Amino acid sequence: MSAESLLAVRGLEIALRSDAALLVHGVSFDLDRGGCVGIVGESGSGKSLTCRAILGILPNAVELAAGSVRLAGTEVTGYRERDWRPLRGKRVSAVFQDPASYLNPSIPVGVQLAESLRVLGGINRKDAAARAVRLLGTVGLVDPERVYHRYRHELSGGMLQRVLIAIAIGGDPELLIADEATTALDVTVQAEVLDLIRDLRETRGLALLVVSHDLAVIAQLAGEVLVMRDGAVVEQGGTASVLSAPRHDYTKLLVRDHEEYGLDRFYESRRVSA
Amino acid sequence: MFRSVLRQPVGLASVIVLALVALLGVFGPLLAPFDPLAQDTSTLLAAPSAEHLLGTDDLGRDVLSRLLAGSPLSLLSAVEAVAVGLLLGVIPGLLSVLLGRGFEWVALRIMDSLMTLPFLVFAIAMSALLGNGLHQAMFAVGILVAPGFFRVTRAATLAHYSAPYVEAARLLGASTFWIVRTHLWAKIAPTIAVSTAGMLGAGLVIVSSLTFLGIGVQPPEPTWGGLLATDLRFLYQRPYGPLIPGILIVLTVGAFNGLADALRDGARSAGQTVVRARVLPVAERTSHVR
Amino acid sequence: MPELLRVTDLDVSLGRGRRRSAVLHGVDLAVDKGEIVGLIGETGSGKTTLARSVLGSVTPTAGRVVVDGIDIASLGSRGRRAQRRAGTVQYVFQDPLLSLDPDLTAAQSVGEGLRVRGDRDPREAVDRSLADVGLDGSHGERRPAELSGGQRQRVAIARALVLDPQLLLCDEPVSALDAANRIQILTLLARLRDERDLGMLFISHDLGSVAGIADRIAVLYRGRIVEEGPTERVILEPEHPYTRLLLGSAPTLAGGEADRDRRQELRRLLAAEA
Repeated sequence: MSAESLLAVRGLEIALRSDAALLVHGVSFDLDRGGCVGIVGESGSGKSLTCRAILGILPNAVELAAGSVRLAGTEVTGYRERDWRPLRGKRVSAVFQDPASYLNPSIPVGVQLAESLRVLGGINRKDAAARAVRLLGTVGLVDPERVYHRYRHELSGGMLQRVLIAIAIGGDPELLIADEATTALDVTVQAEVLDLIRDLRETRGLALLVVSHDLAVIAQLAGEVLVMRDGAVVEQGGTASVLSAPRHDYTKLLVRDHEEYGLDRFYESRRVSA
Repeated sequence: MFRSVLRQPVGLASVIVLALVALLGVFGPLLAPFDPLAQDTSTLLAAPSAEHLLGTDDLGRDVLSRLLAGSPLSLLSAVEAVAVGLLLGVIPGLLSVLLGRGFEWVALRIMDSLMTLPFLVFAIAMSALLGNGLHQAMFAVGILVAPGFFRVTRAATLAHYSAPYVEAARLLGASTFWIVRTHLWAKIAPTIAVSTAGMLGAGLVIVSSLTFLGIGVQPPEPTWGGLLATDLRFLYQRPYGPLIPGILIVLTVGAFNGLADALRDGARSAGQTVVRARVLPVAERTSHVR
Repeated sequence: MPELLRVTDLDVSLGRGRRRSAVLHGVDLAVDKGEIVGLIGETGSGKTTLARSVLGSVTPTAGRVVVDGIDIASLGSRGRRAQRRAGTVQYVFQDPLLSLDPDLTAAQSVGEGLRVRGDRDPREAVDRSLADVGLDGSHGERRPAELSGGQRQRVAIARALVLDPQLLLCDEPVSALDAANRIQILTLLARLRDERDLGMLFISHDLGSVAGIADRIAVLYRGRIVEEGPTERVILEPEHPYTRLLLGSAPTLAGGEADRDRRQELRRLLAAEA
C-alpha cells in the first residue's frame, strides 16, 4: 500500500456525548481506489456508527472521541457541515437499508433524482431531467423514462433501491458506502442489486464500503473484511483467509451459521480455500 | 396513568381545582349563607360587603348564595351530557370495529349525520320538543357529543385491532369478547379518558351558554350561566359582576382541559399511545419488508 | 397413515369485484409428523395467503385443506374456534415484537392459549413450556420490550408449544434475529421435531434459512408450487428455473461472480415463461 488510500481510518473511537461511554473503539482500515472493504456485524456492533462517522452524519447524542478519518488524503474528522458539502455526493456517497423512507411519497422519483443532480451543481432543470433518465438506465431500470414519472409507492423495493443508487452515484463519487443496502430485499432482488453494485465498481472504479450482518453478502464483494462486535473489531483480514480460517469465536459463529444451517452446508465441496 | 397525571404540574393543578369544584358542587347549597331565592328589595345591586360577600343582584338576592346553590346543577348537567355521549358513543365505536361491515356502515352514517347538526340549535329544538328542562337539553347535547366519542373510540380500536397480537389471540381460539377484555380495553381506555376530560370542559361551556340564553331553566333557579346573563344586564351598576361566574366557569373548563392534556401526556410517557401511531422500540433487525 | 397437513389443489382468490385476483393456483402440499417442510416464496408468491389458508383465516376458492383429518373449509366460525382451541396447528409469527402483547408479561402471553380454553391457573404448563425453549421464570415476568429479540422469539415459540400442537407453522421465524440467536432457534426447532415428532411448515423467502433444518423443500412462485422434494435434492439438483435462480441468488460463503451470468440467463428464461 504505497499510494495514498482513498479512505484511511485510524483508531476510530465514537462515544456518547453525555457520559463519554465508548460505543465504537479501535477501528482502523484502508480502502484503496476501486477496492472493496466489508464490515460484518449485528445491530449494536457499531458498524453503522462507523459509516456515519466516515460520512460526518453522527447523531447529535454521539461524537467522534478519537482517531482519524482521511478521505483522499484530507483529514475529515472535525469537519463542519459546510466543509462536508463539497465532499458528499461528489467524493463519497451512501445507500441505506429502507429505500422507501428516503424518497418523498408525493413527488415522482425521477424528479427527486433530477433535483439531487441540480443540487450537486451547475446544471439546469432540463439537463438534469435528461441526465436522470440516463442514470436510471445505468442502474439497470428497464424503461427509465417510465420509471422517472413513477411515485414511490408504484415501485418495488428493488427498483427503489436502484433509484437510490442512481442518486448516490449521480455526482460521480469515488467511494460508495452501502449500509445494509440489500437487507430488506427478497433474495433474487438482492442478488440483482449486488450485481449492480459490483458492475458499478468495475465500470466506474467505484470503491465500496459494504456493511452487512450477513457474512455471505460481504463474501460476494469484499476483498478485506472487518468483523465487529459490541463496538470493537474482533477480527480483520483478507476475506478468503478470514472465512477459511477464522480465529475469533464470533467469526467462527458467523461462519458456522452458514456452514451448518445455510446453503454452504451443501456446497462444502465447492469452497475454494485461501 | 393517574399517578403520572399528578406528577405533572398542569395535571396536579387541574386535579386540585377540580377537587375544589367538586366540593363546591356537593356542598355548595349547604354552604350558602342566605336562601338563594330570598329577595330583599331593600338591598338591590349592592356592592360586596361583610354581609353579602359578593353583593346582591337586581332582586336583592345574595350573589354568593346563588353561585353556590347553582353549582350542582351546572356541573351535574355537564356530567350528564358527557355520560350520555359516552354511552352512545363508546359502545357503538367499539362495535363498529368488531361487528363487521353492515353495522359499521350504519353506525358511521348515523354518526356522520349527527355531526352535521349545530349544537345550540339542536339543544334548543330538543328542549322545545321534550320540555323546557335543563336535563332534556343536556340529553340532547349528549346525543350530539356522542359522535366525538364514537370517532375516538373507533380510531383507537382500529389501531390496535389489526395488531398481530390480536390475530395471535384469535388463532388461539379467543372470542372477540376475550380479545377486547384482555388486549384492547386497557389500550383504548386512556384515549377515552382524555376525550372525556376534554368533553367535560366543553359540556360545561355548553351548559353555561344554554343557561345564559335562559334555555332549560325556569327562573329563579340559579345557574352559573344565568348569573352571567344577569350580571351582564346590570353591567353599569356592577361592572365587576360578570367576573365572578365568568372566572369560575373559565377555571373549571381550564382545569378539565388541563386534566385532558395531562392524561394524554401521561399515557404517552408510559409507553402507551393515545391515538394512532404505534411507537415501537426499534427491532434488532428490521423485519423483511419486500 | 394420513399426513398432518394435506393441501390439495388449492385455489385462492382475494379481493372483491374488479379487484379480485387469483393468488394461489392448484397448490399441493403435505407435511407429515416429525418432518420440517420449508416453503420458499418471495414477495407476491402467495406464501402468506397459503399460511392463512392453513390457519383457516382465508377461505379457499377451490381445493381442500385437511388438517389432522379435518377439512378446514367445512368449519363454521364456531367450529373454527373449537379447532383453534384444540391447538393442533399453531402459528409462530415473523416479528415477536408485534405478535406479543406489549402490555402482557411473557408468562401471561404464553399462558393465554390455556386460559382461553378455561384453564384458570396454567402456571405449571407455562413454566414447562418456557423451560422447553430455554427460558426461566425470571424471563416469564418480563414484558416483550424487556427481552432480547432471540428471547422474544422463544417466548412466541413457547406460546405455540403450550397447547401441545402437532403442526407448527413458522413464518420467517429467524429472519429478524442475529447469527447466535438464529442458530439457537434453528437448533431448538430441529430438537422439537425430533423429540416431539412435531411437523413444521417453515415459511421463508430465503432458501438459506431453511436449508439447515428442513427435510423437504417446496418452492412457491407466483401462486404455484414449481418444485418440491427432499432438501438435498432440491438444492443440488434443482429442476425449475426459478429454483435455480433462487439458489444462484442466495449469497453463500462459497459463491461469487461466476453465478452472475447464470442468473441473467435464468431471469430471461423466467420472463419468457411468464
